[in-house]
Amino acid sequence: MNSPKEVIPQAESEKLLALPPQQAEERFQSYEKQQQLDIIRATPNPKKREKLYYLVPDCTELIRESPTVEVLQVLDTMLGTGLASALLPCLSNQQFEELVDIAVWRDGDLDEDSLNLWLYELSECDREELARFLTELDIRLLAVLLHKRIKLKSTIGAMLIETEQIDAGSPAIGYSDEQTRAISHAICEADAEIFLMLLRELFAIDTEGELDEIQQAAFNTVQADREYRVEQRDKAVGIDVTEGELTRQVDLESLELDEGDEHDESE
Amino acid sequence: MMNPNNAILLAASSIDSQLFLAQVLAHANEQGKITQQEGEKLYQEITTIAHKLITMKITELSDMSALRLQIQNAFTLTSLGVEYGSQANFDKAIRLLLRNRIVQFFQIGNTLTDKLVARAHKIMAEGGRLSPVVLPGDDTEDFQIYNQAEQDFLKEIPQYRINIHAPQITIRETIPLQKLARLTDVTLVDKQLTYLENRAHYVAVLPIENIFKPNFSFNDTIFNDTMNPVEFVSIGLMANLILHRQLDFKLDDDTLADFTEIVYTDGEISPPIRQRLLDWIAQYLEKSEQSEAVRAYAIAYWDECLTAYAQITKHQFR
Repeated sequence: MNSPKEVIPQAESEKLLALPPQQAEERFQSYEKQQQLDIIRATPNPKKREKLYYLVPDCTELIRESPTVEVLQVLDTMLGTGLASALLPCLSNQQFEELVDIAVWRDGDLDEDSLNLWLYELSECDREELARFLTELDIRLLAVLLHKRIKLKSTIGAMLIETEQIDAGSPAIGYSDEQTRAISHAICEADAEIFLMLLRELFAIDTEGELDEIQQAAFNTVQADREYRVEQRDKAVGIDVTEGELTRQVDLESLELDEGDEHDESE
Repeated sequence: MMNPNNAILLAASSIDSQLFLAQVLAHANEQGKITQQEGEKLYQEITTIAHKLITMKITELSDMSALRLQIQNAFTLTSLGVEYGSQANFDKAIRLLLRNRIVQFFQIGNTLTDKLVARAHKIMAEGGRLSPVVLPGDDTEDFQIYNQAEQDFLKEIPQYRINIHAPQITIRETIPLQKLARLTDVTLVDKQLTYLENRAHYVAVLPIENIFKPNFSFNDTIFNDTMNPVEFVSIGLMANLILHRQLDFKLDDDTLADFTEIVYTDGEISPPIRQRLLDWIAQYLEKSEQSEAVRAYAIAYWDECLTAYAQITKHQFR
């Protein structure tokens, strides 16, 4: 038997990964959950870490107790294959929100390439699980993610949205790419009501004003909300440097640095 | 607070000894001007910056080499900021490090390098092309005004890497890629970018319209790898000025042979002719309302063209 005190996580990780699958599972499952997490966290290679998660019958609990960034590293290795969709349902709603905040934003702006990959993985998700994420996700964020990718082909489209007589397969909706079509159908299948809310948000059905301006304002709000969330999460773990600070340009001709008194140190 | 996998990488990445910051810390340690606790706090603040850079800039968090690069960047840009803020004075650097947030130094380093990157992008975006040059046989070709080494130099700047050891009128000597790590490197890149910008200004006012006309008499025997197109055009202008006293680019074999015979003796350029040509380009650019910096660059450029052409003529026109 393995006593909890005997485990050296990094060495144990290597041992487990070298064992035949059944023996590895038995050995890993004999540890307490915290030990399992320690072993996973001591495994730098994300592909190897993924294998460790699979050593328990249901890795949901382990995933939810792992830092989101570490889970994201594992998911990153599967992006574009459809395999990430199998692990995505294990994430908690908070982890999913954090994942979106990190994965589809680059230097404070939306990263369209990453977004494509994540939309594809989401569209491959089990519909019930997708519905769970969607109910927790800020619908404005979803609209911002998709706003350049979905168009209404005619004014009748707006009427169909208002009268709630539209679904993802309607000819009144145009999609810019297959990922967007797939995720729209997936959202609609998962929760038709949320799909309608998304369309209302996307095309500002209940809002007065120019669509472009409304969409820009919505984007600014979502961007600011995301920055706030990132800052709050960072503060909670002791990180006091913000993204805004790291991208701020300074006036090199008039630096505001405190030098103190030159003679302080000799006193 | 740190993702442990990043923390492992961070621990493994000791501060590069060539960075000013590493030297400042060594000096502070020797002089007893920094406590271990202060040193650890400083290191921790830079690793926090690295952690933020990783989540902000990396598309694939599983890409370990990209993680290492961002960690290096956090240390390098912070070090550049400290070096700039202290004017490379160790004692002042220590005082600044102990009294300011580390992110302020990162911001300075980032601002310094962002300016270089923006200029490199602008030069590349504006094309740097002499185009389209019509060659005999109606072939057209899009000739770069920057040679391969110069194009490589521009492409590496966004990665904070340099391929030269000193600024050059035309980049002819390169070195294996090195990290842009010190303020002297920033100055070096700044000066080289200025040279490349001045080249573009110089080319923009050259009377090269004739070259683009079809059926223009054009000798392409040396318009190849041995000579950069802009150098060749410059030599053509010089040849026509000396032989025909007019702004033209008639570059047939006879013109080039006559020019070589008049201007060079045993591969050495005649000093009075050299001076006449350099005076001419200075005056021409002054009339074209080019800045003094562009004029100075063009004079040096013509001088180099004459030297480069002397080397070629030794092999081809004897």
